[in-house]
This record gives sequence, structure tokens and C-alpha cells, in this order.
Amino acid sequence: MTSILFIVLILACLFLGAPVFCVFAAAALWGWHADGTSVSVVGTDLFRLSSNFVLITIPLFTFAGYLLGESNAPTRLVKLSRAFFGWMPGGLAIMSVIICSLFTAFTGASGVTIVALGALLFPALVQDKYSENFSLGLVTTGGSLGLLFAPSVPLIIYGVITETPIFDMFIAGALPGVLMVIVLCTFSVIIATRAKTERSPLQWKAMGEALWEAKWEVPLPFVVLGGIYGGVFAVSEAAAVTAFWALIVEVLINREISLSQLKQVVRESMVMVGGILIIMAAAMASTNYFIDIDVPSMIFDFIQGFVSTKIMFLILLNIFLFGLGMILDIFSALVVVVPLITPIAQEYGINTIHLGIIFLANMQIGYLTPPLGMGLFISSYRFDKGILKITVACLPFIAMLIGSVLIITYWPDLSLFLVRVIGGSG
Amino acid sequence: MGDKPNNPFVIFAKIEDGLLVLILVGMVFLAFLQIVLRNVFGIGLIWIEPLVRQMLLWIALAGAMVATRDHNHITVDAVSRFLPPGRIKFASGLLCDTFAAIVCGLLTYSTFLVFHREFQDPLLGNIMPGLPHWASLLALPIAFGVMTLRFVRFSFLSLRSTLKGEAS
Repeated sequence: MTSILFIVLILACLFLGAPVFCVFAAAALWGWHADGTSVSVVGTDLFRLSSNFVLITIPLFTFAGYLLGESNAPTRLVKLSRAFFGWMPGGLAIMSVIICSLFTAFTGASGVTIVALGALLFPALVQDKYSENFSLGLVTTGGSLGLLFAPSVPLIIYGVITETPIFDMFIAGALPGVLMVIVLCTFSVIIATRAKTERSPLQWKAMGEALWEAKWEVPLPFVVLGGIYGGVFAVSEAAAVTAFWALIVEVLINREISLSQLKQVVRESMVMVGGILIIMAAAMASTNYFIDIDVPSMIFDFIQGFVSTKIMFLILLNIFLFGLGMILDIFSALVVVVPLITPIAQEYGINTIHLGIIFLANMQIGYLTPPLGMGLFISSYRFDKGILKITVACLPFIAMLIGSVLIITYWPDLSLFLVRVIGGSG
Repeated sequence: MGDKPNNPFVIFAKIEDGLLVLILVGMVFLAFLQIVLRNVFGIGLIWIEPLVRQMLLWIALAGAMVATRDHNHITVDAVSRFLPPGRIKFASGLLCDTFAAIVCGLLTYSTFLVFHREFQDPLLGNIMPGLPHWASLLALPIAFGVMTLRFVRFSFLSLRSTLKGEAS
């Protein structure tokens, strides 16, 4: 009886807006206490945060992303891609898709992409005669596109939680991520051709200038992605190189971030990181308890009653994740749901790596779906447009992403092919 | 909180922010140094990796402390976003802040037990020469203690708003 009351109480607190980490910690504290185990188990679990070296990638990449977002790097990036791709039909839209996904991969869909890049791309798109709705939808969608590319933090967190090599996650995300990018680019070209948008002529001088201005930033993605995919760096090393590089370039070489701004960037990014990591730590503690009392097999026994095949499970999973994405942010969803569904999915013969890609691809849509898609709110705030208008603008993009997610879900080889060829080396 | 420069709250906040910068910049440089040492000189300092792992814990805790100060933790706002401003919203804030204060209080206790056990009987040994593990474990109860106090303060503020029916 008390446990039921307690569950109702913490669920009420969760939905009324208590910090998510407190909800997990409460579940763990209550669970172990009811079991008669010392609550110091929870403290030990929290301390386990310091036992995984890969986690250092989270503060390092997030910091680098915020730093680049705060500098003039986005302006240079837009100028550069305009000079190179502006001549193509839909060129500006295509490059928006590509640089947004690249930027999101580095900043982890925290809204930095919309704030830093969207603000530059949106007026540029409208100026080139793309419709306002298309442009809004594109930059809002761009805010979470790229979650499947290295070195995105949600991919890393999934790997850490499921004890999958991060490198394998990065490889598995590549083709599904490319699929989404191609789908959106194709759509952009069709729209652009119909709307007869403006193109800028190809000029060698402009290209050279833009390239020269961005000379310090251009090598970064090549070094990091080349280093990771080429097996030169471990992921944690790539994170250290990225953070060090961004710090030296933007603070010492370009001098666009003053020391007091640097303090502000550190503060903002680390509040975000602290918020995520503390949830992770608390979730590890509560998961430990849930696994101890065998919650996953209880859920499995329950759903096995009416879900017998793998396909049915996948359909159910898609619907469940779609709904989950509507109410939870990606980090909370990862730490709460992944430890519970991974063993169940394994029972249905779903590869853990593939599950991760399905999960993240689904959650990416959650950024754009009302009532609680974070991308919608950030975009609404940034461009000063109503939520409803943004949602409507995003609808065609959501439809295309849903299509991509279905392909990703029911075609496992898209995620697993490259892993089989080059993965498994850690 | 007043704005007087020597207000202890303001000083403490400055120390917290300074810690964030110090730990993060330290992590960046140590992790980079390790790569340079390994690849250029073919050597490695054995204490860098364990130290950086502890620094990750510290920065997570310091970040969470600052997030608490800003009342800016990750929450599920599925319901709260749609609550009309007024007593009900304040009361739900009161419930959440009190809940968070109690949980953080218990976490302070729980992590203190872990620290105390290691302090009495140092099984884990040193992170690096001169830095025992219990010193890092001590960061946990301190951070959760500060968060507890902050949530207690928010609870009082929410209580006052609930009673008055307006933001205080």
C-alpha cells in the first residue's frame, strides 16, 4: 500500500516538474530501503559516474560545440557553404541540411544549432525566395538532424548505458543519418525547383575568401571524424582534441571569445552537462535496483502475452518511442527507457546496436512533435513565431522523417552493414 | 539574495563558477597532454586518466549545483507548462521543491556514508600521489548538501508564493 502511494507521489512530482534526477534517486532510495539494503548503495552507484572514461567526451564535446556556437564560426560556415553550393538548385537548402546536421552532431541537439545557425540560415533562405514555412520547417528540423552522426552525445550515452563500443554506434549511425540527410535534400531540391529560388553564381574569388576566413575551423570536422572513423583516435581522444582545438582557435587565435565570455560559455555548457550527468548517475542507481528486482523480464512476460513476433514488437516499439519522444527529452528518455527495453528487445532478436539507432531516430522526431517538442519551443522563441505556425511548417519534414525511421527500423542492415564490415575494433 | 559584492551568497556563486572553469579547462589540458605525451614522446602519465575521471564527477556535481542555483534542472514539463499561473502552479512548485529537498537530503546522507566508509578504511587507495579517493568521495555529500539547502530555500519561496497567491 505504501509503495503504491509512493509510486503515485513520485510520478506526480515527475509530471509536475520536479528535477528528473530526484525522481530516479527517490525510486532507488525507496527501492533499496524497502528491500532492507543500506541506502549507501545509492551513493556508491552515483560515484560510479567516475568509473567510465568515455563519459569525459560529454563535457568536452558539449563545451567545444557551445564555444563554436558563441564565436563567429557559424557565420563563416554559412558564408563558406554558400560560396561552394549556392549555384546548385536548392543549394542553400541542401547546405542548410548538411551544416545543421554536422553542427548538431557536435553539439548534441541541445538547441545550439537552431540558436546559432538557424538565426543565420532562416533570413538567408527567405531572402533567396524560399517560402517562410519551408525555411522555418527546415531550420527547426535541422536542430535535431545529425543525432546519428559521430560524435553526437546521445549516441555516446546509448553506448555507455548498453555497454556497446561507442565506435560501433558511430559506424552504425552513419548510413541511417545519411539516409535522412538525402531525403531532406531531395525534398529541398524539389521545392527549390518549383519555387524558382535564386542561385548565386560560382565565383572562385568568393570561394577562396570564404575558405581562407574559415581556415581554422574547416580542418576540425575532418580531423575529428577522419580520426574517429579512420581509427586514429579513441573517441575520448577525439573529444580532447576537439575541445583543445576550439579553445585555442576561438580564444587565442581568432580572439572572438574574451575571457569573461569564456567563463559564460563554460557556465552555460557545464550546467547542461551537469544536468545530464546527474540524471545519468541517478538513473544508474535506479536501474540497478530495477534490474535487481527483474523488472525487464516482468515487462517481457507481460507484453509477450500479446506480442509474439519481432515485426509486431518493432511496430509497437515505434509507436511507443514516438509517444515517448513527445513527452520526454532525449537524455531522460535514454537513461530511463534504454536499460529496460534493451533486454526485452534482445529476447525478440533485435540487435542492440540497431535498437539504439531506432531509438535515436525516433527521439529525433520527438523534438518536432507537439505538445512538447523542444525544437518547436526553441524555434518559436528564436524566430518569434507561434508554436502552431512552426508545427505546421514542420509537418512535411516530420512526415519525411517518419518515413526514414520506418526504413531504418525494418531494414536492420542499413545500420548493421558497416558495423559488420569495419566495426568491432572498439 | 542581495547584490552587495561581499554578500556570502554572491561570493559562493563566484567560487562555483570559477570551479567550473578550473575543472573543465584542467580536463581539456590534461586529456590533451596525455595524447601528446603518448603519441609524440611515447610515454604516458599513469595518474592522468584516473584524475580526469574524477574531474568528470566533480564537474557533473558542480554543474548540477549551479543548475540548482538557477533552478534550471532538466524536468518533464508535460503538465506544468499548461498550468495557469496562480496558486495551483505555486503549490505544485512547492510540492516539487520540497520533494527535491528531501531527496537531496537523503542523497547527502547516502553519499556521506560511502565517503565515511572509505575514509575510515581506505580500500580504494589513491587517485594519484597525494590525492586519496575519499577526498573525491567527499565532493558528493558536499554537492548534495548545497543542493539540499538550495531546494529548501526554493521550498520556502514557493510556500510564500502559495500563501500570498503571487510570485514573491
